[in-house]
Amino acid sequence: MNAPQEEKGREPRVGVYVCQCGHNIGRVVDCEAVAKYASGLGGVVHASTNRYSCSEPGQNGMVKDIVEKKLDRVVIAACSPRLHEPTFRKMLETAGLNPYLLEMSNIREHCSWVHEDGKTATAKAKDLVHMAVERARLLEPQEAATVPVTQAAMVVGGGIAGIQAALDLADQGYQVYLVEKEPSIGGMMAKIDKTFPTMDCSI
Amino acid sequence: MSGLAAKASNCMQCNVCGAACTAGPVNGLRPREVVQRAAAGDPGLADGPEPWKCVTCYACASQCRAGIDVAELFYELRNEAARRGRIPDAYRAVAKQVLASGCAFPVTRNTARMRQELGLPPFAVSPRGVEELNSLCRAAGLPDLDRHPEAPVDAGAPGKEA
Amino acid sequence: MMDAGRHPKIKVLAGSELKSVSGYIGNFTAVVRQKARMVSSACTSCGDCVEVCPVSVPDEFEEGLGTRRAIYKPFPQAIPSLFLIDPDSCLGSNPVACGKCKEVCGAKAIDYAMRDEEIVLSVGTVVVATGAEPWDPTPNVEYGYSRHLDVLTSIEFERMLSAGGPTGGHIQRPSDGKEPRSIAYIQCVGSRTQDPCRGMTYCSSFCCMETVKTTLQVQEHIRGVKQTVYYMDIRAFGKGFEGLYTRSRADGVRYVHSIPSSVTRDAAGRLLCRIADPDTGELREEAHDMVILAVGVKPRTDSDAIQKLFTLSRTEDGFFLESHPKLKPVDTPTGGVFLAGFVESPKDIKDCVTQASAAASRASILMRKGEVTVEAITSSIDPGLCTACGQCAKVCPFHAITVDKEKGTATVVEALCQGCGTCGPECRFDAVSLRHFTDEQFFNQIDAALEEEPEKKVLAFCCNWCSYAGADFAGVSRMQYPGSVRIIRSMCSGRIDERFVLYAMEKRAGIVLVSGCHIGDCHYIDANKSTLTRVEKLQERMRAAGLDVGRLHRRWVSAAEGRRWADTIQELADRLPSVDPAEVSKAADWARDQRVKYEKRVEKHREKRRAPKPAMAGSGAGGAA
Repeated sequence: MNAPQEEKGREPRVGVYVCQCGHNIGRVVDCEAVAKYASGLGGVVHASTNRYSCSEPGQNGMVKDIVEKKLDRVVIAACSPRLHEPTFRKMLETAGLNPYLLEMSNIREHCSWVHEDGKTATAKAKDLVHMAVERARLLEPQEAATVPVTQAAMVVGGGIAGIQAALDLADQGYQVYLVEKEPSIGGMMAKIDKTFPTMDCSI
Repeated sequence: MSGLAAKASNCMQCNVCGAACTAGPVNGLRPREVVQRAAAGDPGLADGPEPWKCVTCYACASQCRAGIDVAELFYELRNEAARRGRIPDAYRAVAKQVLASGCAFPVTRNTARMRQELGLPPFAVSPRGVEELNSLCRAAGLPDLDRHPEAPVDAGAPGKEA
Repeated sequence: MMDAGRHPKIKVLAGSELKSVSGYIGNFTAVVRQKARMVSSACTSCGDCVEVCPVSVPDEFEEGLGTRRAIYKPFPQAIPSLFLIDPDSCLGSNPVACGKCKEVCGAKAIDYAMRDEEIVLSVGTVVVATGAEPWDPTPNVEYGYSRHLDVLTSIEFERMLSAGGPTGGHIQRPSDGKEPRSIAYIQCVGSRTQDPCRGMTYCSSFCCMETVKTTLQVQEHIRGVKQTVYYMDIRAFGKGFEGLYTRSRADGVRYVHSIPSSVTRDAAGRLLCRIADPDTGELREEAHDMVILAVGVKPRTDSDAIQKLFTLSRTEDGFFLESHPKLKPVDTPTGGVFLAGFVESPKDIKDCVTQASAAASRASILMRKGEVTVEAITSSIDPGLCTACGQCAKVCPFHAITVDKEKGTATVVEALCQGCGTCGPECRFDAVSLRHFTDEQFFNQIDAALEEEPEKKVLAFCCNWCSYAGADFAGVSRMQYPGSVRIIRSMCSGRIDERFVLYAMEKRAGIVLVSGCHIGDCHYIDANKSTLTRVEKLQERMRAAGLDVGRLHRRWVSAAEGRRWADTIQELADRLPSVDPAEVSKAADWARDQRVKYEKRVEKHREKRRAPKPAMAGSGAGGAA
């Protein structure tokens, strides 16, 4: 999964996918033209359009390409990364690539949806894809580290919320430290006489 | 007016302005109603007696939970009424008095005598001062005081409880 | 409460304050200072000491409606069920002066020499449930809380209703001890006001239902009592609440849609509420025997300390900010720290309990797994270049950078680092880099964006969480704006180095925009404050160099402000045609000079570092990838 060390220095093999998102992008942006433009960019070894990149067939096609064409950087020009970056990162993992070797180019929210004029939108989409490819060429695999978790919890504040949280954690078997500033736990709740709907005493 | 109308729309109708109003018990002013009508953009609001019933004590504004300066709203309404030429006679008289003498209250013989007794010099606003006051008022957009409305303006005289 | 006191897995540390918290998700070390009770656990709760204590002070638990002694138990069911001595009022620290309690204590539990204790706790997760404070209605002078004895807060009234309270559950006027025949409640005291002296802007959300519940209780206590509730809105939002409200009305409680402007006292000692009739607007005064102020809550005064201890964020109203208002309502920006109860926002009991269970569940998910994956996008510092100047540590919102002056280097605690990257731009020697958002990647993007017709473009740097999302929102809403803008995304606007802006100038960008979250909304606590400083500084330098500052803009755009984003781009694009090519060239030359100067300085530093200390090269653990 890690890009091996010996790969360093080798020109990356970038694959570019221009998503039509049905009509959402395809109606305004000339996706074929963008893909053609992308295929001429440095480092790009594959460029094509997708009807729906996030769909099952869309993802399967890309996984196939990644494996067959030995792609090691993937640029997907589609919607906002805030929407589908997690989706496509998982896809990269399926294809055996480190998930951080993905770069998304937002040609929907930032382009086809805000520029009615096809010429303007297509020109901008080309620029955005160009920018994404340039960034993708320098992407490196990243590994998230793991740290151990101590099996004990501290609850700060011994009012109704703190007491409930402490009990729930303790009932699961964790050691709980309930820290309260006042000389007794209970908080505001302990001062209340009866509570709705059971009208029982708060203590 | 639109600015205050927008602010008036923050009103939560808690009625604390009405409970604080010092004019209400005397002339039946209902500030909450006025705020409500202002928020609704009632164009006839400035033509009625309400703008002139307020004594601008600011009790309503000081207590308003929604942060609406109710007293300022009344000033705005008065300005709007004045622009429409709908100034009650009493206010018109005071305005004329100010423009003519520079004083809202006339310097009576009684005042002159009291000043003399207290060893104060005779009092009068200088003609230049009066002139300056007039040009200031003109610049600030004071409307023509001789243009009278077709129907007399109801200023909500005391005792006129709704 | 009892369950918590008896649970073998819960250690109750009452009378204790958090002194410090260090560490990170899964590995926190907390130092707690426990105040000396001066009564040991040998105490049998017999209460003999209370009988002999000569001191009498207002009882906090009874809201001052009753008194307690200097040696006391906060309330009968208190946990821990031990007596304690209040050192501020006790005379006994000097046994010559008193020492009576010690004399009578059969269990020999009293020890005046007991000292505060410091306890160190190692925990994996933290639930912050510090609550809120009731609004003190003293500044709401019109209601005469400090003038009239018979004006009480709702909390004080709760104590009076309690069978274990100062009056044994009898409702009586504090002024003459008589049973009231008419009680008024004034709602929203300290809530829903734009006047900061009178209270908070928000709805405290529990007070309406507390009053409704209380009216029903009072109805049972006093036969034929008249009750009036003055309100602006009754918010009976929860399950069964509307039914309770209806019952209260059916029971004869009068609900008047009018807030009194004042409470005064007449000659007969009755309290007069001045109101305007909700229907006619007519002004009148209504007489009552007691007035209860339904007070709201405000954030605790010690919120600042808690915020610092756990590096939390707060919303405008002062309560703690959750990670996501809908999807992560009990998480905080600090991993492993969760929120429960009023500390997050005012709510009713049921919601407090629900939220507490949610927080406990979130915490236990972490602990059950036993290990946790931390952010992969983190900063790293090249020890070969670092001079331990500490600038990066100063701006780090998460205190994730430790500076070792002796070793002459700073290191990033990766588990603490959240990857905002605001440290990088502070470094003068290019020692700091952020994984996945490297300088070179930004430079490459700028090159690509400005390859053609750069003067006709607005180059925008946007943070992922707010301004980039705001641009997304403009898209979702199909707001049209000029196509001349090119957006470069970073996780935080704090990552935007002035060198990126300068490089864009060098590459002849028409206009450069740096955009992030509004101050106070930053997803990395306050990293965007650095953005503000940096852009202002750069603008100042441009001004000093005689350049047009109108080509560099800084705007805050939130994720919800799609309109603002579209308007901003429209405004900047409208300026593009008037950008003078001569000015662009002049700025490009200046920017190039700045870059060359920087590169020379870094190169010199590199050489200096390389020459005398070859041993440093091997200690590159945690260094730049």
